[in-house]
Amino acid sequence: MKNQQADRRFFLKTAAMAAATALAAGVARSASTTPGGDALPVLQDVEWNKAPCRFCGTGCHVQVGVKDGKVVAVTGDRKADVNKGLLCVKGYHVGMILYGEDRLTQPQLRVNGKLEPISWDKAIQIISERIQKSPEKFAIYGSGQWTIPEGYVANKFIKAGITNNMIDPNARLCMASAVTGYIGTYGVDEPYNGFSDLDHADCVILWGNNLSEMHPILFSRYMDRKIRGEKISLVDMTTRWTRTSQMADHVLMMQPQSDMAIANCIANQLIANKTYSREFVEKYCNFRGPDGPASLKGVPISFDEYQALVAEYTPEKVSKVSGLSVEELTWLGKLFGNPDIKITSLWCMGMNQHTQGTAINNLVHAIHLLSGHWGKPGDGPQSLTGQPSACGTVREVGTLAHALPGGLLVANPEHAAKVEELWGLPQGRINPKPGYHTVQMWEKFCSPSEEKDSIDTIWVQVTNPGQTLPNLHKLFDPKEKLKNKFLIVSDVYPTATTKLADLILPSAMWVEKNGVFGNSERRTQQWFKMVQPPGEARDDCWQTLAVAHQLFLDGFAGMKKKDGSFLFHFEDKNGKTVPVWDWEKYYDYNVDEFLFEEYRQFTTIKHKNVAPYQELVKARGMRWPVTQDKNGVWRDTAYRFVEGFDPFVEQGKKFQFYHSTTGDDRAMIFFRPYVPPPEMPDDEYPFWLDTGRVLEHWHSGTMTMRVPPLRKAMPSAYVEVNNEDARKLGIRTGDKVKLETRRGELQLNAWIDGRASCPPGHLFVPFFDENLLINQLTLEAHCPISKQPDYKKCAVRISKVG
Amino acid sequence: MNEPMIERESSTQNQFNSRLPILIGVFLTGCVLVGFILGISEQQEPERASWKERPTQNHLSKSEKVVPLVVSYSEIAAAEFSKNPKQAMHFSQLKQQKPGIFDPVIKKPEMKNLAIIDRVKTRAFEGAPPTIPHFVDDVRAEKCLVCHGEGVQIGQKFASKMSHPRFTNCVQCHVPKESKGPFDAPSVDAVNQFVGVARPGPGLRAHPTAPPSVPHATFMREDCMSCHGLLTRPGLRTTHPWFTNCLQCHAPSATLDQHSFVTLHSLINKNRDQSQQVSETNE
Repeated sequence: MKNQQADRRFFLKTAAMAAATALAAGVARSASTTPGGDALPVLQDVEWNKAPCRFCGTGCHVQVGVKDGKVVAVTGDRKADVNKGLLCVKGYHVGMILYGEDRLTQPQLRVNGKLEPISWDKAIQIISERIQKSPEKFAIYGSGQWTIPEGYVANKFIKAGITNNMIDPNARLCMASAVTGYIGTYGVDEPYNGFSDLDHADCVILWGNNLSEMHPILFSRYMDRKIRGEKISLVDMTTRWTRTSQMADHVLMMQPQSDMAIANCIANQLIANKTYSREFVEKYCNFRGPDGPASLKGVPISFDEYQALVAEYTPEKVSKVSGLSVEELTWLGKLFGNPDIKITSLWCMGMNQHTQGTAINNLVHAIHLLSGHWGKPGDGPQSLTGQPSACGTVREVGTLAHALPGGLLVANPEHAAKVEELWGLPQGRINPKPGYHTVQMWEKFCSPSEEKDSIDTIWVQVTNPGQTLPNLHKLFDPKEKLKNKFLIVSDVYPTATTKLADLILPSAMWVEKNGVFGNSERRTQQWFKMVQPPGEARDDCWQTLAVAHQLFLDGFAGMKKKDGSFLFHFEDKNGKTVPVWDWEKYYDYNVDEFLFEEYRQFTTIKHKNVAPYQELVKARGMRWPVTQDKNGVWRDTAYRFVEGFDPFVEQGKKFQFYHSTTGDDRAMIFFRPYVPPPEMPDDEYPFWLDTGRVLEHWHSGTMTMRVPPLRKAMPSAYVEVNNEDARKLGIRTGDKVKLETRRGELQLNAWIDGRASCPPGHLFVPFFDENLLINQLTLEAHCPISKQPDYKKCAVRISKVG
Repeated sequence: MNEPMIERESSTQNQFNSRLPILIGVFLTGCVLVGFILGISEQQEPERASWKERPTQNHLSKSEKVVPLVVSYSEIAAAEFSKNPKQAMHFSQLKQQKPGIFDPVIKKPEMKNLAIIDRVKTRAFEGAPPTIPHFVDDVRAEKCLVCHGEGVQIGQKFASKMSHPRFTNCVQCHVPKESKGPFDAPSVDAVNQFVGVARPGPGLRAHPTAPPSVPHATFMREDCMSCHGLLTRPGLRTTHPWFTNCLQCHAPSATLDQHSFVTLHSLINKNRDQSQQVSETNE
């Protein structure tokens, strides 16, 4: 059915009111040839459908306009809870990412250093042979941009099929610390709250998050209240002056890594001033201290011990580490000590890309729990994500080296048994030993094949590690010179990764395929395929299924269930096998629905119940847990663990942390000591180097650098230099400068007080530019618990070139 | 002003009564004095220093004042000059040539063509937020609103009035058409084969003299005068600016405004048909 019909009906009604004639429609058609810009395509007869935006974790919904098999327009979806019809500049131009001129359209194999086109059959054959040669040395490196069915297939392929657990996603570089933070504190991953907190908060605190550029729609949601005159304030805790600082009420310029000391200082003041919430703490919390740097769940400590541990974090002492004044620190302490206001803390990469990422996540949760700023709408801590399905695909489907779908773990025998049962696997198929996490996986890929524990083949899907891994000279570049290493890359455009790829597979993207994403407020979002992918490009999901089926045909034991049937065996309504491996018939069925419904069984195990696929079809995303009320209506959950919102909280409990690590429905208030960063500026490398994003570009720029309005607004990377520093060094805007770290060097143009302003001694470089790979300089040191590297701070020196 | 208040609190009721006329006198004199001083000292609100020049150490510190550094003589040749933030003159204060509401409107088909072609220059497709065709020194909304709040015309140049409500983060959607950053020129342009809808298309008319319907969404275009008012491209101007209730005659599109009563998407239906097809063929 064409939406235009509704339009026409509306039009006809109006026409009738104006001057009704029986010939209205006929005349209207002839009148549509009114002169004016005649040659240009018009909006008429465009068909609109919903899809979540392809970019960040906010998960805005867009309406995609399609005409003659092409995307021709995009607009915000007014029915979407997240964005209410608004978009950011990337979102408005998201339709253009499909049409860059160098889309990959043909599988290509590197033969004697040159890429040659090959058929899909050949490509699938090559991968399956490569796997059969040494399955233990094969790994999949995926992404928070995988759709949920794609991630589910890849995860099952590795965990049930290859059984070496060698699968990890780029989300390890992005939100792994948030995961471990949530698990440590609440016993189960993912935010309990959502973006609607911004509609209720009195004060929003950003912990190292440039919300205005990175999550513009959430920033709008805040600003909208501000300009309506509501009493709401923004506290920007930051290491550089950004567009967010510009509109913040309070800017707290802190030193890198000192967020931990600041959080402990707040905790100290809450106790010293007796402004913590005794009721909340006594009823709903336990105290935990670490028993080593890699302690996820910590050891029990008493309140008195906790008090003694945080006591040394006095404003006077913390002032020296953090660069904040005593006045500012006491102001923060008083802010959290005020029970009458609602405080929302938000963070993203500033806290997650941190060598103490888990610790700082625990600490921010801790000060909210301690102060009782928790659980009321607008009053609580929430981590944001940078990828559209970091939550949906990575955290929920468990595409991590240690995880199984639904928040289960490979190392837990009960979990493994449950998964074996649901997947129809023989007992003991799930390997209890976790695979390599991202940094390890690429270290092993960059070490000689002769080493027993090395990885020889990596299949990269929907991501660009050649640009986004830290310390590229160590973790990616050595591949080129090593023997018997095979890199398979499924992507949509040539990237820094495809430069070293041995086999390139062209993928369908976004609305060229069916998909399901999960955004950072637990919202699962579904969309349908709207246009055909170019050339031979095909769904990533199909690619994995096709290889799995080839292995099955070749007799690879892992691809068989207990009953001998194919690991991905599905039957339609009539009991007929769905040939998920056959591209010709792939879209005769909705394979996504089969996969999603199978996956859905896992989500009920840990109260992460996702909605049935057909419910998602009707909605603009639903926040899990989604349960049926007594009238049979499926309802989503705005706040977990909170009575009145979460259907799993028992009556009268008010707050119930039903996955508590202590088994008593309580959350953990962690003490974590301040730990200095592993590399700090010294005489040799006297500056801090920070890396990150800019508004116009998303991650490695593979998509946004091919959208002319975005690229013109921000055509290449630069280094942001402080005015005073520049004066001392004799650097002017536009000068070529050389940055050097212990790992690499890079020449860039300097921008003094450019998009933002660094304080003296700090430099900032965005990472979107594939011609200026700043990650050749960054540090691969990572959080001991989450294994997430720190891209935000390392020591660097700068000099003018020429 | 405060002193009498304190005294009132500390005095007994009796004393208070006897001193009431004096207190009133002091209070009124105080008011007059304060008013006078405020009156003579009131100046036009000084413009805030550019955000880049604001101190970065301490938001609570009293020493907010930062004097912008003057470029030294030896550096003039290479210095990057931008607008003096203290400069009071605004574009909007220049002489304007806003047409009168009853001035005759001349509209020719070729003018409309020109207007549409001009619009396309700053839009990737119909409905995309226009890019900014000029350099931007300061991205704060109040700066943008100086011209785009009500619209400005100087000579043949227009600054359109915003079409939507006042959001405060303009550059979240509107990015400069050309960047002013220190980028190596010429940078390779992105080649993109996207062909978007370029114009809403003419509105449908019931008969040749009927008012055309609105061919585009009115969401984010709540203010018709932004594109059809007096301060915009002549080819798009309304011929009857004195009527103020546009939607009374020009009907908007329920579909484009997403008020569609058709709750199911076409693809949902297709999906249903598809699953039926599958079962039919299987049967």
